[in-house]
Formats: sequence, structure tokens, C-alpha cells
Amino acid sequence: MNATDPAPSSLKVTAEQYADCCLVAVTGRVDHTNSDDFLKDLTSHAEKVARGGGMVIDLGQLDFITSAGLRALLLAQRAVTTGEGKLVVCGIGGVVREVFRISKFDALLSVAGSTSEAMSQISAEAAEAYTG
Amino acid sequence: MTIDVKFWGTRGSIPRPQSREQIEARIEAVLTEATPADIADRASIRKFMDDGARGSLPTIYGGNTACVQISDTSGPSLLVDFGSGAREYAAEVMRTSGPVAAEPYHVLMSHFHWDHIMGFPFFMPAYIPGNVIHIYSCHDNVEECFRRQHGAPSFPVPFDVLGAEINFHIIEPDKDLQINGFKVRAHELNHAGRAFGFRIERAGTVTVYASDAEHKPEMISDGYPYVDFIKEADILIFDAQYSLAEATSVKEDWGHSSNVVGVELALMGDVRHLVFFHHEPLNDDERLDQIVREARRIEEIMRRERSPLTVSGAYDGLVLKLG
Repeated sequence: MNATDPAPSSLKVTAEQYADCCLVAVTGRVDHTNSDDFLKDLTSHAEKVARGGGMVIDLGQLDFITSAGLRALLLAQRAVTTGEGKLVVCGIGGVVREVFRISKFDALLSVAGSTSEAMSQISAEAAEAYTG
Repeated sequence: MTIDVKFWGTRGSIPRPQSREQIEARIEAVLTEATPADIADRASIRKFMDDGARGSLPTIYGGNTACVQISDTSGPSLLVDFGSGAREYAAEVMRTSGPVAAEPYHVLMSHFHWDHIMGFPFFMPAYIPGNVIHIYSCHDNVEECFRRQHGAPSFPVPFDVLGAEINFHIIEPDKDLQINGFKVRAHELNHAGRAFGFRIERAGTVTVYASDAEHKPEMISDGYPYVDFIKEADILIFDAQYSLAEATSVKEDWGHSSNVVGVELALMGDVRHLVFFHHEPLNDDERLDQIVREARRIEEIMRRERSPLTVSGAYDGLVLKLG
């Protein structure tokens, strides 16, 4: 993080639907310069998750995350679980994994080892739609 | 001229004495690690202990609650908060200077939660005629808070019995003041009951005492006033009582922050030395060492092209020298 750099860091959030699951892929960096946008994107997708459905957030292409980014993930989880759905995070590696471990967010969020595993934690239909 | 920052109490919420089990575990670790050469004479024993028994022992953080002394080695000093560590401070002053101090005591109060005021009824200079104590606070009910703590049924000795001359001063936040030769600026922190941090400058050094503050992740931005308050501090005394996960979930709005947020803010403020403080009483010495180690790793990850930020954990008795 270059904390004094006012220019927003590079961030891309995309989403695809697989059966009852919204798969969100995050690319780039999340820090205090773009965490509001990250939260808006995640919340927008979380609100569209059908009651009892799920959301998987793939962080495999995420290079870096700060406390504000982690909070956005937590708020997305709350939004989905309020609708009796489930949110699973996957693909965390490198420094992002370290930040998850040190912040204890790996215990706060459901974390899967792979996208397939995360989809199967949502539903068999979602897993089949994703692999098929 | 140098500035000493001495930590008389570093624990948050409630004092945490060492348990018999913890002491026995340390003795066992020492006896297990020691070789005959390590205990050949007193000098060898001292060296062995100073090295933490070759790193086999965790830091002893201690159990007294918040009290920090900032002193110029040429004489003047300030005390911040009357946690249980203030009793140790008073004992040291009376041992070295006698019961009546030649100079008045000057004490800044961050707020009046129990762990920051509980040392005052056991601050012996307050009972002795001839001592003068100046207490500074941004809360206009400061005197009432001190008197109430001495009232029945909580304490047997009424405030009016205290023999020292005790003066209360209500100060304005975000305004530079001169207190006993130190430039002091108070700044409100996000904490139930309103806590205030203090930026304390003298002899070209800056120490910021900013305990009891919940910096929510969404507050952190380039325009966050706290970043200006801590700007280029030599030492930032920071409340890292909880993990980030705790502070954003089950302990949200409990008024404390985490090691991760501490590093983020210290980097934004170009702080030189981040010192964790207000330690969670549930955390043992091993866990507190781990929190410091992990914060150093977070600092490496987040630093990028910046100069390294030193990260430490304050312990009772620690003295940091500036200047």
C-alpha cells in the first residue's frame, strides 16, 4: 500500500451466475483508495443473491487487501446470510493469505481451497453448473 | 537533552497478575535451557536471562493498567493516565525523592474508564501534605470523576481527606498548550465516553499517546484527522487490544483497535516507532509476542518503498529513549 497515494489502486470485480450461486472474481488491489468501490460492487452482487442461495468470491487474482477490504467481505457475508444464503471465499494465496491469517479473518469467513470446492459448499447444483 | 518514555502500566481493561502456573512455566523453561556455563556465576546468569534464555522465553509484559511517563532527562516530566501502574510510579518517586516531591506532578487524563483511573486511590503522594498535583482533562466533569471513585461504598477514604493540593484543569482539544515545558495537543478518539489522545512534543521529539481508540476500517482515508494528529511521531502508543476480526465483528463498538489497523495508520502518518499498548488481559505473553511478530510481517507487506517502521509491544517497565 502506498498510503499517501490518492490515485485509486487498480481493481476489477466481475460476476457470473452458476445455478443458485453468484461467482465473483476480484483482480488487483484493495486498499483505502478504492475500498468504497469494492464494497459497493460486493454489496450490489450480494443483494441479488436469491434467498437461500450463495455467493463465492474468488480472490485468486487479488494481490493485496487492507482492513477496509476485509470489512467489505464481511459486510457482503452479512448481506448474504441475512437472506439465509451462504458466502464462501476461495483462491486466497500469497500475502493475501497472510493478511487473512494475521487478521483472523480466516476464522471469520468461510474459506475454501478452490473455486470448485467453494461452489460445492453452496449447492450441488452450483457445483455441477460450474464444472459442467 | 533526551526524552525517556517509561511504561508503568500497559494492560487494558483490568490488571492481570502473573499466575503461579506462568511463573513456574518460566522457571521450567530456564532450567531446561540452561547449561552449566550459563549459570557459572552471577554475570553469566544475568547475560543468560537478558537474552531471554537464548530466546526460549517470551517477553514479560506485566499486568498493570495504563500509565506512561514522558520525562526530559533534564528534569520535567508528564504522566499520562492513572491506571494501576501509577502506584508503581509513585513508589519509585517516593523512594528516590522522598514523600514530598520538589516539583508538582502533572498528569494528563485520556478518559475515566476504570482501568485509567483505578491507580489514583493508591497514588500515595496524593495523601501527603506538601505535594501538588495538576490533573489535565478535556472532560468538564474531571473532578467529579475523581471524587466519585473515592466515595462510599467503593473506597473507604473520602477525596476530601487527601492531603496534597490537587488542581483540576479542563483543556481544549486540538489546541497546542504548554504544560510543564511540554507542548501538548489533545485529540478526541473514537471510544465510548470520549477518550482523548495526546501529542506531546519537547526537544525536537514527538510522542503520541493514543490509547483506547477504535479506528474502524471505513474511517481510514487520507483525510482522516487522526493521521494528521500522529504525523511523523517518533513514538505512537497504540491500542491494539483485539484482532482485526474481533474489532470488526463480535467486539465492534467496544472501543479498541488491532495490530493490522495500527500498522496501516502508522504508515500513513509516517510514524517511526509503533508501540502496542492496552494489551488484552486474556492474552498471555506468548500471544502478545505473536501479535507483535505478525504486525512486523504486515508492516513488511504494506511498507513497499517506505523506510521501515519499527513495531514493538510495550511492557511494564519498558523505557524508550528519544533525542
